[in-house]
Amino acid sequence: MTYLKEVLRGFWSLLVGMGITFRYFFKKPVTVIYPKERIPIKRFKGPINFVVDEKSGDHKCIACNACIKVCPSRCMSLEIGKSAADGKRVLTDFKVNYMLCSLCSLCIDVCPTDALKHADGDYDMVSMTQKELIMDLLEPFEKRGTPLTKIPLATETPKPEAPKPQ
Amino acid sequence: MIPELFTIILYGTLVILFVSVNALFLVWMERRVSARIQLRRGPIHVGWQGLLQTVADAVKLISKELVLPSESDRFLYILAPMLVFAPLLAAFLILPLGPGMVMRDLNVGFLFAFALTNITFIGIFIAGWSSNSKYALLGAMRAVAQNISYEIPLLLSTMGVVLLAQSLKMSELVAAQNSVWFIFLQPVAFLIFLCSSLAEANRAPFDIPEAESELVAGFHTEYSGMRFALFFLGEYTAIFISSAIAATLFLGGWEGPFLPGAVWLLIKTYAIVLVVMWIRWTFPRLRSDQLMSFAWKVLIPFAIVNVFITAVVLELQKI
Amino acid sequence: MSITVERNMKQWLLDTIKPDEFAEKDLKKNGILFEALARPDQIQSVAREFLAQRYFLESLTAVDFAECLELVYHFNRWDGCRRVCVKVLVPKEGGVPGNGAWHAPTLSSIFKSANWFEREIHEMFGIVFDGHPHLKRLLLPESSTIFPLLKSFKGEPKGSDVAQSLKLIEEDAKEFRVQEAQSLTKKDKDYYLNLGPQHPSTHGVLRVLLHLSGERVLDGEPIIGYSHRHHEKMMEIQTYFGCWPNMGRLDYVGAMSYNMGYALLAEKALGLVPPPRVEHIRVLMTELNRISSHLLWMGTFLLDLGAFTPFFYCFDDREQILDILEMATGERLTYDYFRFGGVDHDIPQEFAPAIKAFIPGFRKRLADYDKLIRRNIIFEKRTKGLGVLTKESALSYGVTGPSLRAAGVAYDLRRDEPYSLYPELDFNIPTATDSDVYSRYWVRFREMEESLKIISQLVDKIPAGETKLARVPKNFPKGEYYSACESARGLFGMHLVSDGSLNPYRFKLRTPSFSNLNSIIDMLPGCLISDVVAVLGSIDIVLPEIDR
Repeated sequence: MTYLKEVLRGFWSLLVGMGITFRYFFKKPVTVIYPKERIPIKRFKGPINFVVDEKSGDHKCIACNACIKVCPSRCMSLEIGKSAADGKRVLTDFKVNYMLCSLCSLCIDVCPTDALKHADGDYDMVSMTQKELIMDLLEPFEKRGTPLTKIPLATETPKPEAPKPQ
Repeated sequence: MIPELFTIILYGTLVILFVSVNALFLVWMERRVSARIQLRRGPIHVGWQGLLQTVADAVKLISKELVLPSESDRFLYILAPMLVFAPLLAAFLILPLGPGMVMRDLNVGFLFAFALTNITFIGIFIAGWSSNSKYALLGAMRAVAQNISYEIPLLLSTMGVVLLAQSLKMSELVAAQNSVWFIFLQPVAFLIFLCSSLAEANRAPFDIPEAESELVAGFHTEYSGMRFALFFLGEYTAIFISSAIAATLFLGGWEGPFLPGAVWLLIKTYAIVLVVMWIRWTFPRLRSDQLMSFAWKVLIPFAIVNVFITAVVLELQKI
Repeated sequence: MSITVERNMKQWLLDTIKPDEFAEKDLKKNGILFEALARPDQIQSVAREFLAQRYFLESLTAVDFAECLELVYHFNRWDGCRRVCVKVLVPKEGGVPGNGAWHAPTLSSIFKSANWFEREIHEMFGIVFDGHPHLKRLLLPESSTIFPLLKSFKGEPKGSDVAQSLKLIEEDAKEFRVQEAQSLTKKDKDYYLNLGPQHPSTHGVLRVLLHLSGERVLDGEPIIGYSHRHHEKMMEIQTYFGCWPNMGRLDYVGAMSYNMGYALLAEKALGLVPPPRVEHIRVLMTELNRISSHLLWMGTFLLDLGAFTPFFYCFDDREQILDILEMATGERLTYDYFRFGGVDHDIPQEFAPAIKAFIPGFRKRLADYDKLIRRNIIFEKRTKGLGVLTKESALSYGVTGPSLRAAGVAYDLRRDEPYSLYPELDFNIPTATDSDVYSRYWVRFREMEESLKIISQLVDKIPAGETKLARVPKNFPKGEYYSACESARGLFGMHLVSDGSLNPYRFKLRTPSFSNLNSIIDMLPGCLISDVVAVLGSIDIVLPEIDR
């Protein structure tokens, strides 16, 4: 008798299971057809980029090296020049090696002038060459010719302080 | 003599054509059904609703390199896929598509089909043995053990039907279901038949010979390209055949209003295939020893009791 | 009761062992009750006494100081936080690492977990444990000749000699062939099977060497180290801030707990008090992550058992959780969200409503899982009475987390060593008694419900306020700190030795899966191959966490 009961119980449990999959059969698929459909992203950590100052249209970097020191993956490098006019530090080059970056946001945290941010949006970023993934953050500013990039430099530039990205 | 040979070749070609197209369709159907059960979409991009996806896969498989494992038994290794696939084709001989539309209406009927499909297990064992791989050998051993156990409930479950129809001939079995389908008279036999044929075709939850989470791919671990495709083709053809036999034995075969008999048989067969897929995508896999105890302790006793009760009831009706 | 045990233990240590040094410590600051320095010849009797008092070996590590090496044993009990620390000094005189001059007695005959711990120390520091049965490299390649955690190691990796590794592996294989040949002449039907490293259900790159007779397992041994990245050395050359990304990449499935562990350690050491808003966000995040981790486990475990469909349902739910976590963190897997005394980014407006929308749907889904999986006769037959881990075995291996709770021990650090908001929260600790695969499933399943309960308690009450502290020191004060928290897989402990500089001097990560995986040696004998996969799945391992 217990044998029969056991068989019936097992059979019933199988039917219940099939009932559940039957129910799910008629539900709407939850997958999206990716390139055509996209799920909106609330917060996205893109590659590290400069914040553009609203007033001057310039970057806010003061070349203090804080981000370089904190970066756990050693993926950033910057070069500093001396202004010909007053001898102040001027940022001449800022590169991020996106291949090494671990997207930890520590550089953003540590920046005293809030000059860095994660770039938004583009989550299907691809690149065919490694070179494209070494990003020159200063390039768009140089192209536009913002004031900070046009400061004339003293001829003798000091040695770069940080190691170059590997 | 000449026309006889001609028809044989014609039939043969038609069957191979049908088997290939059918397998492609079944694979597509399996993917779509599983996708819908799993809240996915399945293949949708290649062709209408992804119908050509399996064709693309077949092309890929044909173009793949045929790998021969080192220290394998070359001759047997190459022979095995054919041995798995070829006997299944012969089973199409006895499928009745309509009144008088049976290639060979043998008086041993479906027993002939079962006898032939069992040859595939020799092929599977050879595949596992010749691959020189422990996983493949384990899969092959499991397959043979499973096949021997499940042959018994499979045939016992059909005996009830045979008693009712008083014949083994496929055409007479269909004719006997004129008034009422045997699934209503023999529901237990139908369930046992379904279980056993799932096990015979190595389908989940009885897919232990190829259990991919344990044995990687079981007996066809080492196979690639078209040889692998033959195993695949063989599996889906086996499902089709056992479903078609189930449809003939229990669901009235080609009988049905308006549409021609062949269409009705296909509809019924695909309905059973759908259930088979539904079962596959619902349950976990059994363990090999549980599989055996399920056959010997549950299916066989129930099948014997079923045959006995059927016989008794029939005798009582005579009086 | 346990307090008396602890007092007795202390008295026993002082009376019998007469340690060279003994110091009471602050549980709130250092994470241990007291610390004793024993002589090497005493450590075995110490360990025996600890085992007799039902302590388990939580962590065993070494620290390289200029004049000597220090072995650090952490013992703990299942009732509340009773962590004590015993140290042994290994003098450095008499040569260079690798020549076998540095000796220490082994504990592997007392605590089974010591086997792997000691092998790890052996390869990282070059200490030879006398009497160890199988002192081979554990995580590094067979051929490597380096001892990376010694301070003298400056990072010229000579270990990756592929040809030499292959040669050693070849020799290994030959050894097995010889064994196989011998067994054949004995007319036994046993043979060896390598399950992995490339196998569908080893959850990463794990190799399990099985000794089989037919399909029956005679014994099996997991072989690890395939995804070793040496996080501990990596963190030694990093600043304390720079260790954050490592936390997300150890146990990538339940990374929030690791974030929590490091944050707790820092807050203990630096005496920081995070604002209430931060505490709420942290607990919410950790519990959501715990659910998503358990869901991933459930899906893959059933995949191992051959059921495909639950995997997709689990991933559907998991995706919804990841969407919620992504709102705040911007990440979906390797979270790097917590900071010392704060969190990286405030939660957005939609965060709480999204969680509230998620809860009822998930509760319904849990009911479906129950019907589809646990009630299913095949699942029941496959899992009940399988892979039984006795309490003794669990104690000896230092098994923690759901695998331990399935053995009937309600040991959960959220209760027993309360941190963050957990003391104020209402939740149960699910346990089961059979300690088989089924119980482990059932415990984890109910843990998801409990986590959901915690989340629904907190989601309405997130207070306003700051999410970051204004000033955080850059270096930890000199000393030793231990902190532990309950990750999705068990006790995650961090042992930090700070010399007061900007970089950690030594960081030991005590990862739960490491000890849990070790315990399958006791579970495997007698299983079928199908069961091996089920047992492996049931203890919920994440290989990067084991290999570190």
